[in-house]
Amino acid sequence: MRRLSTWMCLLGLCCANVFAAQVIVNSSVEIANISPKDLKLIFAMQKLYWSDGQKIHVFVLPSNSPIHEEFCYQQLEMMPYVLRHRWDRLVFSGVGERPVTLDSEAQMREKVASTPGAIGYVSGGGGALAVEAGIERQGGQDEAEH
Amino acid sequence: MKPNISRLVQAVMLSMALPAALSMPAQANQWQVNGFVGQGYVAADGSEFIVGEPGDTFDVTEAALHLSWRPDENLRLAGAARYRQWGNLDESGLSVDYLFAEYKFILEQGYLGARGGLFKSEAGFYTSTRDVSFTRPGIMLPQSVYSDYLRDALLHITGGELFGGHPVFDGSLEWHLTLGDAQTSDDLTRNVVGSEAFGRFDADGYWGADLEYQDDSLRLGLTYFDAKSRYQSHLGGPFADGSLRSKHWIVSAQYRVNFLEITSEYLHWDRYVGGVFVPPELGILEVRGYGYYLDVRGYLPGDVELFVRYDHQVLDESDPDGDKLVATGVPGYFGYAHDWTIGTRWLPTKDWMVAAEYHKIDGAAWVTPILLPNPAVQDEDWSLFAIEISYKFQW
Repeated sequence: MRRLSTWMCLLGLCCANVFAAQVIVNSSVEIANISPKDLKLIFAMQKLYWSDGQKIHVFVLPSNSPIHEEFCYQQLEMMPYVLRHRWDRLVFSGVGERPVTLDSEAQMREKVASTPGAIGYVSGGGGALAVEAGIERQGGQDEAEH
Repeated sequence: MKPNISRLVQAVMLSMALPAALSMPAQANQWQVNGFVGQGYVAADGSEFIVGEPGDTFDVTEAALHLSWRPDENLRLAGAARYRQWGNLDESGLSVDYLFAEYKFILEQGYLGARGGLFKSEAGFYTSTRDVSFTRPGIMLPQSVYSDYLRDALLHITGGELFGGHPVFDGSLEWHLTLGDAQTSDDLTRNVVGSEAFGRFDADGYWGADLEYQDDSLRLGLTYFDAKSRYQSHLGGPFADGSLRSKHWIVSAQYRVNFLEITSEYLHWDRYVGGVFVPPELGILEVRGYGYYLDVRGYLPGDVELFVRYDHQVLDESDPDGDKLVATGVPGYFGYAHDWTIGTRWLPTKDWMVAAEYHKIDGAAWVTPILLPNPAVQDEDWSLFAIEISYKFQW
């Protein structure tokens, strides 16, 4: 099953944007778009602060979730294990932190909406890099969407 | 139990007490807890390296618990406790792996930071995470660059460092400038001179600098450090008081394309030995040596890695075949080591890993104890098999 999903993601890579995940940020992040390069650095935990100095809080879904795999392959153009290795290295050497892993998309929307400086992703959205702002604080699932 | 258990208790108490003391509201993402455990089995044929006399051992156990606490956006405190038993190279015991505070200043491009306390050396790609099965490229690191006998002397630094991270090209550039003392231990003493009964090594200053660039497919690194230690002999031992100084250069490169990853690192060292085994009339003995490895691995579907590695070390660059050693009565093969390894790592789930590898080795340059080679128990051609199962967790 795992193998199948890996190959399906590779297939997805060839037909870009068919299953694209949607990047979402907290409304405190004043940014209209994120370059693919910055997105990679942010999720690899190499870029730690937004340009206004605010700390970036990175949220991800479990490594084996289809959305996470799609996000890695399509938006980050990186295999999930590569990201996992980088996080392990930061954590186990003590010099950094890993992203916070959330259980579900609903939780993702809620956390990104309520955490200043937060970034995450959800399923849907055809655009490769559209950024949508969550509503700050107490939004709940509906408010956090668009 | 080692005496540093008390430091461990202090560390845990400190990490528990600080949030309360500062009345910080505990937010979930201010804290991170990570850990892992690993249990291995090693068998050697023609050597006692790691396994000792019986030829094989299950005494290959490692575990660690890592805490990170960020009371505000710039300040972070981190600590880790470690348990490690690595055959006859590392006696079992609990100890503090690191315990430090760091502060980051935000720059227009990246950040600048300062860190103080006990922290890990960032030499090469793997030094700082060499004790963690998940972050090593195999069970045994390439000994040419990451010799286990010197692990203690080069892994933990007590002191301070400046560091930074900056976006460059399509990736980021990170650097460290480190000043302090490298920790030493009885393990180091035993692995170099053969027994703690003969005397002991104590740290006597360390400084180092490293630079690492990383993007999607490329990782490049450059490290330099200068580590000094003193040797105090005990009466009746075969060695005299003395000093040991090591200056190391490490050049590292890794290239990843699709499912293939190629890694190579080159280490060159200058070691200066005064006393210990060098007669006073010879003054300071300078030994230059080098090591390098080339590792090619494939990441297959199903989270399986396969790798093949060639690892080469020469203890004295003026004597690559050990001819001069023969003149001193030691077989020449203690002057070099050529290690061919094939191995695999399999992650059936993201938290579990099974690793296995087989080494075919010609030479014994990095076999312990380094200063007392024993041809009676160490062959020129020998082999080693290792298997390890590990589990990691996070909160």
